[in-house]
Amino acid sequence: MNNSGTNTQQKKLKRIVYLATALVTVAVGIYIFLMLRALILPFIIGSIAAYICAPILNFTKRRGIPRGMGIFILLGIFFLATALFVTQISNILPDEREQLILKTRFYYKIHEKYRNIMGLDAPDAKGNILYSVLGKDLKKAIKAIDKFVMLDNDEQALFMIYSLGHKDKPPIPDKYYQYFQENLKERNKKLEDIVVKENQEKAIKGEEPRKDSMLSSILDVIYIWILMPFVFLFLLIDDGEIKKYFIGMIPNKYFEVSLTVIDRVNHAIGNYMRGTLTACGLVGLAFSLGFILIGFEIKLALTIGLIAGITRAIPLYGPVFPLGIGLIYSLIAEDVNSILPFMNAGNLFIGVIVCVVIVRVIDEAVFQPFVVGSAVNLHPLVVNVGLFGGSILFGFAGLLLTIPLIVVIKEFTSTLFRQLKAYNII
Amino acid sequence: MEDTDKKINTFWGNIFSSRKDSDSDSDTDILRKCLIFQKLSRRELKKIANIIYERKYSAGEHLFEKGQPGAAMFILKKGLIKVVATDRDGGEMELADLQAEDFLGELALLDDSPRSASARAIEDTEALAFFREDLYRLLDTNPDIASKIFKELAIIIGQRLKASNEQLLYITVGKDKRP
Repeated sequence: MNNSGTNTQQKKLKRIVYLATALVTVAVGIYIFLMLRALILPFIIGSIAAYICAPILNFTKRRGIPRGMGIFILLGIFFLATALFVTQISNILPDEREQLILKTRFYYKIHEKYRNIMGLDAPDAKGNILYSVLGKDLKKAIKAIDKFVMLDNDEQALFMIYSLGHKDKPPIPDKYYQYFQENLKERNKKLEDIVVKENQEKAIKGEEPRKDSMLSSILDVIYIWILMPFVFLFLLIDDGEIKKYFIGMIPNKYFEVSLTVIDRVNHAIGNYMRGTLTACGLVGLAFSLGFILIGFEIKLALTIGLIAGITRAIPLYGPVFPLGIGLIYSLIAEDVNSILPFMNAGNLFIGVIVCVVIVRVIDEAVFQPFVVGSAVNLHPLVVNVGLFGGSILFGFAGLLLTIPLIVVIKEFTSTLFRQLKAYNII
Repeated sequence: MEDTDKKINTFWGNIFSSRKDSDSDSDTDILRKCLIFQKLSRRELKKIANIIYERKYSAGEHLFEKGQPGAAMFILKKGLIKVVATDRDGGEMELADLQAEDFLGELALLDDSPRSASARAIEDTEALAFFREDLYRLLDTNPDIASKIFKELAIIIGQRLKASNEQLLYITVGKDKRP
């Protein structure tokens, strides 16, 4: 009798310990999740990269290459591709001198186009009807753009230094120097201004103005994103042990149901990711060809294609990036070599808009239904509401991950309920 | 109360069971004795051991029930299982008692058609579950292993069909005219 009493007490204690452990674990888990919110995106991107690489690893296994060696080869390819990408990007990105010229050209051209369109070319012109209707609003927009492209005092000084030739770079062409002077006039400043005078003195002395270091912000980004390759490697090495561990937590009654549900969700998300990757590649290719056709330099068209391909993964806002870059280039372009006879620097921006619209239509009408296919068979309203909700709750990460998440939830719930019914659980 | 406690223990046991290399080795030994995997080399058996799930069942707990869609085959590691079906009057009819190294539910490896009988643990049992979709994936990653398994499965099903035919003939024609 005493023994049975002790046993019951022990069992009660055991239950309390289990329950308390579970509650504490859940509470700590939620706290850690909230605290490490910034790490969610690198973690998920690393997991997705590992997921995408899994079929490649299976392919190497089929060819008789051991798993370890396969991972080693994959990592080699990953680092090689990253190095190539970084080299290509750094070649494409303008250096300090080119940045100054680009800003100067952009500032000059945007004000020139504004004056042309608004009928403000003559010094005493009062503007056309468009100016009277939209003038004030457009001026505000241009002022906002000016903040980004206007050279500050330090940059003006640097421009002066480069205009004479600096760091083995040739002097800045006269045409752009004239733009620079016109820009200064536009800002109601003359070259004889005190600041410019100071800068000229600095230029003659060869002094470089002080620039703020971006090192700390770059380090902050690296600090967070360093997690991504670790997650990628860890998940590739894992070989199903994590899945087994979680399956181990599932009660026997739901064992076969969960295996089936996980498999179906896995299948759906795999289809979605393969489809999206192919669609991204096709969109990138379409943009490159389109921009080459309307007269962009091949190198620039390929770069915009690459960016467009990557940003296609961002729902709704994907086409904004190629459109933005294309329009910026069309504003400063002076020589257009298009095989289309009617294209010139003046109407290049129309070509950009037409190109973006055509690619968008092809994406919606062909790539989306035929390439991404039924894996994302979601109602547009669900997608839009989900995207806005996701972006409000989790910002950029929410925007990026909402559709795959909806795919997972949809497949999970539909399969789960079907299976629970089939197993007579509900 | 006793039953609930056992289930809780089994649940936590599944979570905190630490799989060591020795476990994997003993799983490989169990798998080798299973007819379906008998043609596989030790290396191939290790690959199978990596994709199987270890489950623990308390006495009285079902591995699967008649009519449920099958998703996995079970190989018994320890314990005792009773395979039962319902007769015409709704009563329980015992079909077989299975013990360590026996396997059951192998038809689930072909499709998800409903289980033809129920399997219940008579005592605390440990089983290895082999999931159908993992076998299908093996067709992609290790087609040589998958083809050996499917061949053995076909032989076993063929033998069972032959035995069923003989039994049917015995029932319908009679003992004396049995071939």
